[in-house]
Amino acid sequence: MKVWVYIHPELEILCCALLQESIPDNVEAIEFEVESPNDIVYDGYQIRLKTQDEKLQELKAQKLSELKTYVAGLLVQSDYIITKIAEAQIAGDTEAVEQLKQKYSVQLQQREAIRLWNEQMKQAIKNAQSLDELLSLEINFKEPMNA
Amino acid sequence: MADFRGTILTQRGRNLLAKAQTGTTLTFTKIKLGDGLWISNTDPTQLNDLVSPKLNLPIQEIRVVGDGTVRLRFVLTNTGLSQGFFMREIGIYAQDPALGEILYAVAYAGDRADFIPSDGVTKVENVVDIYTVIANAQNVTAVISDSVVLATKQDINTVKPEASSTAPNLTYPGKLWVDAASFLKYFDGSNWKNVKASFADTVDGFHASLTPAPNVIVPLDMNGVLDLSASYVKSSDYAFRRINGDNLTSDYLLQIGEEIIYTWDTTKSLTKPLYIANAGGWYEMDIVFPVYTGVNGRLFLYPNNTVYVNAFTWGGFSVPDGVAPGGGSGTSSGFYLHKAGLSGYTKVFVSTFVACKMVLCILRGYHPDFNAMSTLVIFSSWNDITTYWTSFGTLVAEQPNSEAFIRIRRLY
Repeated sequence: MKVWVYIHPELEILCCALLQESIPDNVEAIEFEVESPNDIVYDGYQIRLKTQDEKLQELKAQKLSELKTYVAGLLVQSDYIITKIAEAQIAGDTEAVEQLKQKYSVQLQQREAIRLWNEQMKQAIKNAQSLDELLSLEINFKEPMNA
Repeated sequence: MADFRGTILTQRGRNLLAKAQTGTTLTFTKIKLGDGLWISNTDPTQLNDLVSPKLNLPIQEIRVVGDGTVRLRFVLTNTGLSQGFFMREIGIYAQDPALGEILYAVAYAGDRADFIPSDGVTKVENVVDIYTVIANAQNVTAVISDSVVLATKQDINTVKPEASSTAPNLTYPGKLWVDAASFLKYFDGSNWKNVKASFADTVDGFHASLTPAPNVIVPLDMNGVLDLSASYVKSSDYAFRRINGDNLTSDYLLQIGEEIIYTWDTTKSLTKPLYIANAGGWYEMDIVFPVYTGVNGRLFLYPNNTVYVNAFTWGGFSVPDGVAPGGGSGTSSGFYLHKAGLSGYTKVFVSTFVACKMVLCILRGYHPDFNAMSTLVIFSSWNDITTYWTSFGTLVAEQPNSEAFIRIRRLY
């Protein structure tokens, strides 16, 4: 798509007009052909297209944020077990702690698996070398087969 | 009424009538009235004009009677007559191709004349028919004036619409008839046809920029249903109309209550300019992506058709079915509307006041992150309080998905 990019005279921020008629009067805009209006950056010196590396780093940050939210959503379902065990530990009831660990062993193993998967995903995101590689990483936890 | 005893062809009238028998068009041009007194040896056939013309009158109607005569109808009126006179003479004038306008025939009332008073307290308006000879002339016409028209009862009966179960016998192009089914029909010269409303709209066939004139009757369609597609009902502060925005090419100012609909095929274009002018107000918007394709993309609304980089903040939470809720927040360069893979139904409330520019989205759709239906609520605000939101903006999808349906209604 075509965009017309300029520095807003009052707001002093980077703006991209999506229609040519939306360029404010008395503003000099630069025309770009882009895939997304977010492909433009002002680096303090010039308005230019983002480099592939800049796009990659932005997408990595977005993916990591999505992963964090996703993992938190998975773990919160069994947080009550951790709360019970912690309460038993605070009370000094070691027998109750062991009983709870036995009772909820499946859930505790699943939490461990989630954390392990989370670390692997974080590493995979950080190690990604291209946008395609990054986009191919699906944030979707699957239960281990022996769980 | 004065007692005129028939019309007499003048010599020039006879000559013109002879030409008319061989095809020359016989055109009657006007009627003259006069108060001339004919002396005893006056030969009316030799007259080239009335003895004392007083008043020129246009011909209102001509009808060939069929017995070798023609009926000329004129309106005898004293409008504008400065001085009264006795109407003793009537002259019929016609156009001779060689001589120009000639006195074709005359009639004389003598001492049985009527007095035509001057224009003042007494108003005279009479329809007068006068007959004259045309023999076998085939082409007979008259210069008809519409300046003064008095309709007879028969005239009115002829032109008034008829209400009957069978088509009227008397027809002419434009004749109106209300049939037994209460449809108003007109005769087009050959057949009876239903009268149709004519619209000059241009936005999907409708002229969105036009405001109906006061007291305009909103049209019914052929089924008698109130048809608001080309017009609308409007009170002093609320309009009821839906228009199609797909063909708009410049911003249209929605009236309060008015709504606009779009279809948007995201596989063809990731952007959808909405072309709505905005003067500060609030709106509701529905966005429906009916097909789930698994695409995981976001949807933004860029006000003023402009990406204001990092000038927006948002916060929201999602509740996937069977999965614990999660939340998030961040900055963006437009209003962040949509997260769940561009499928499902989104209700959007929009405030566009300069110091209160924000959007609330409530979304239910299939969320590709969780492979489950999910409910999302996202608040998004444009935190600058000096920049006016003058154009509703452009929708931009991050990924192509399917066709979307959009409805926007101005609430204030």
